Amino acid sequence: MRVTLIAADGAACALEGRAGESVMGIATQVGAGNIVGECGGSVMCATCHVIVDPAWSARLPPPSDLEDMMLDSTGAPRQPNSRLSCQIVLEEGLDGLVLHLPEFQ
Amino acid sequence: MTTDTLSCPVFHFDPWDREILDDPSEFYRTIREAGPISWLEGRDVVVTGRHEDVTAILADPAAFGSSGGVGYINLKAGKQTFRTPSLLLESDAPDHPPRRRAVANALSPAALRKLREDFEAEAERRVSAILAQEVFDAHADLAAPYIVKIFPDAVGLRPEGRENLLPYGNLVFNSFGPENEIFRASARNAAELTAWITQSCAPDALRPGGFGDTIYEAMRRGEISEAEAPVLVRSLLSAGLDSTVHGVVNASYCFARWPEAWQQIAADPTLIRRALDETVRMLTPVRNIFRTTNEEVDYKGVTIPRHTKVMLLAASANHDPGAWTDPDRFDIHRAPNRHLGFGGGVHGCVGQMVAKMELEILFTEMARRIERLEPAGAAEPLVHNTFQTFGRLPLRAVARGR
Repeated sequence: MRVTLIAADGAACALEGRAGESVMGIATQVGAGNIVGECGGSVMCATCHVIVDPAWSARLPPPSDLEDMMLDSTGAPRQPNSRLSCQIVLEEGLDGLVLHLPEFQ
Repeated sequence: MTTDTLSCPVFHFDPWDREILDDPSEFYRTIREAGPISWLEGRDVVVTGRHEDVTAILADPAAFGSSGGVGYINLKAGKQTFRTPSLLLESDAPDHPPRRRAVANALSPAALRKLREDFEAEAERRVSAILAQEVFDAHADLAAPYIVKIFPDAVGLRPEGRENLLPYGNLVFNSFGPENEIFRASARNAAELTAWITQSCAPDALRPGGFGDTIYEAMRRGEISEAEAPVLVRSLLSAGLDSTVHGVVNASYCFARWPEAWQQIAADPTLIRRALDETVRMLTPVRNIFRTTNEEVDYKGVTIPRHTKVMLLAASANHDPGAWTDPDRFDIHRAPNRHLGFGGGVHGCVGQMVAKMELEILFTEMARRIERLEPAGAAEPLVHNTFQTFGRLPLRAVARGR
């Protein structure tokens, strides 16, 4: 499955992943964009912040309470479509997902 | 309770036996290899040491709750401790989320950014002090004075009486084990310590604008109650001092033992945060944490009765060969580092970003000015029910450009 990350300066980067993998997981394996994932995916650091492209936002399940809480702690300001990419798990229907990166984590 | 009820391997280890506390590696290996979960006869707890299972149980607070206490004592069985249970750590939904939110908000990245300069100034003073010593103790001369200055300042605590902070934290974390000799030794002046901490967390005792005051603001906005706010402020002081002091000591130990890693972070300071995570994995300060089943639960085919204590061996999970390549190798390039040194799930350490900033600033200053750290005498392990660290760690800091 393919995921496209678009940096704040417009540079795009395509990632490949399998169902069940998180976007943070596949991005940090190859050092894509500015996704840090400092807590390793346990929703505790807000350093894998992404903004979901409006065309895709309705297709993702809503954030959990914990993710919602951590989204208040992002480095760059939270936006309506902000998510933590460790909580975006690839599944059927998400192939081609487009995510935007914040200016900084 | 009898073991008839549990169809899993049974062992007679006592995790608080002095030999196991001194070197738990054999205990951890046995528990990991036996299966996802085992039963510890005598202590009567379910135990798990695999990364996969510790992670899964931490991620299921509905089945494995925290309101039964995150230590060995079973609050669901009506047992009591010297202290009132932590409203943050030892609570479940629906009580927990608003409390967590109030504390997380006080420790937000925006709040942390304002503290950076103060932390840097203290790190500079501390590194100058250890460089002036022939041999320094990483606990008494580095970690303790640094953390006891910057963190209580950030909370907004007044300077008087701070010598009570580490003994109080020590007592709280010892109380996560059984009421053994180790606990009793740390609890001799429990009443005085508790009285002092309660008084120090009162709203009028705190400086405006600190972490503590921000929690009281949430109370004034009606988000948490008047009864909850002071206990949440207390949580900062019980959870945020000892744990980070030991984190500094353990990181110092790792960098003295693996000098090539020190050379790498000195050459490229952007590696420091990742390297610090690896020190937490390698020598995990908080060995283990407990959950309690809310109801009877089936876990991977084993029926665990209602209100059973479940001991999660984080330090074991952090060396699980099923989760880590070459787990005993100190590798600062592991990314992402999924160690469980800060717990995980809804109760994952809410202060970890504060701790990481405290350590990042200190070790950045050290890497800038110290060529290498060398062992300089016998390290003395701390005898403790929960922590894995050194009470005394003599090191020599060799200055750059000598």
